[in-house]
Amino acid sequence: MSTSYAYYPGCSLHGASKEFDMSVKAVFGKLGIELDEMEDWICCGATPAHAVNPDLALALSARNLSIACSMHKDVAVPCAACFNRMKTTAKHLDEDAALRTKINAMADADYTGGVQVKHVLTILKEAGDEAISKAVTRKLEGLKVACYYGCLLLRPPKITQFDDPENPTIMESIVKLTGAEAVDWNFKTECCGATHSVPRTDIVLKLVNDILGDAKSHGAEALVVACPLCQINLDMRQAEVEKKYGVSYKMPILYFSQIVGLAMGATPAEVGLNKLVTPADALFSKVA
Amino acid sequence: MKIEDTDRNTEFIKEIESLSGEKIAMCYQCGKCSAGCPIAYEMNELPDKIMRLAQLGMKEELLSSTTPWLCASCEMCSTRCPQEVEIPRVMEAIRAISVREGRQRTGKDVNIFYDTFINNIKTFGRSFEPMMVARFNLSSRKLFKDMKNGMKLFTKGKIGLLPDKPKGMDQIRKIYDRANAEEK
Repeated sequence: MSTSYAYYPGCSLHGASKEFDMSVKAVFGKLGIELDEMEDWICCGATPAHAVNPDLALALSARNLSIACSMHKDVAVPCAACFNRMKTTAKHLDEDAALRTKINAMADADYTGGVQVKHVLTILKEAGDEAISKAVTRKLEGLKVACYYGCLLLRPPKITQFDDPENPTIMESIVKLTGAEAVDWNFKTECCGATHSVPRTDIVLKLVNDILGDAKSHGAEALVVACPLCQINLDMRQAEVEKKYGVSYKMPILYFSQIVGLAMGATPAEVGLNKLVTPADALFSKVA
Repeated sequence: MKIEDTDRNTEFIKEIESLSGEKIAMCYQCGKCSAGCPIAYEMNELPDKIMRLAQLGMKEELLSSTTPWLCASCEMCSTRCPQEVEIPRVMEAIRAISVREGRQRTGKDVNIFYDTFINNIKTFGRSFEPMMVARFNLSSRKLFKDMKNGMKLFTKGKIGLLPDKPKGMDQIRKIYDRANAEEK
């Protein structure tokens, strides 16, 4: 197993989701997995690029894959949208040499194929339950969370090859190692509508309300997520949801890497806990 | 309405199939896509109806439907489709034809957002969120939308005032020009 990866943080982790970047690095640091950030990576285009020009979407990710190729390393990606785009591109270009030639020319890239694209959850799981358990120094007993996967990590399963698309359990299995309890609930694979967050906020407020409402009714005190788009959507829009639907959630939306990092002895500042819009401090003072 | 087979706009069906890479006739109307769609509640035509309209080549009905613009590409439908039809690719194809024919009014703000997002990453190489939202607000005439949220993120140190640009922007911008030339 490779213990050094070409790291593709993506725009969110350099912007509004810095705490995901900080906490992934904290956890991987504890486990001795090296993340070597690609130089001059570019935006993968997310949903907008492939929604309007599929070739452009392939070209943007091909350029990033080409950087990984020159580093002779597999890629570690934290953002679910970047992961989905990069894995889709790698699959298409690996299987179709003519397409690879065309897209390489478009992107001024030299992707020769065969780079593995992995989500950071998969890499963490591959490190092994034993290694994770050994690194846990502070059990988060008494904490009840709902693990939320959303869409892009899981689907389409032929491309992502991530986990069972209807009942994924990878996050639950990792959360359990921290001593926290992962509740059973219904909305873990529903889309939160993040791509419409700016142009159709009305739709997103309804979807977020459905997700948070179900998590709350199953006893969750927080949501655990693995996608920066889900996180910001569920966290930043929560006050608007509470106002529109006359409900109260005050539900912290944590990255899985924040909860694992804290269990591994990282400080709240090291995992960027203070960067969440819905405060999570009370949650952890309870288990301290 | 009585539909004669001769009314089918077969050119339009072929175009959707070539843009999406999907075989429209595969759909046997089980409705599973609509049952799982998280945004179905907001749609006048459910995804299975869009598939049926596509099979019948009913161009006018498809281009005036808001459904393709409401699809979030979450892939719940295609994951569950027993015929393995990639319905979001069909929605994409209908959107592309709408834009080309100047019919994007049905999904105006979604279309503005996609264009704004792509222009933003073409300019900066990476998404520069404050500028993107400001530009979207200007183009969609919703000047103060998300101002409060932006301030929240700013005070948390989550958004900066300067873009985080990679080196080689001249070369990067050419990727967009080449892809657009290919599209036309």
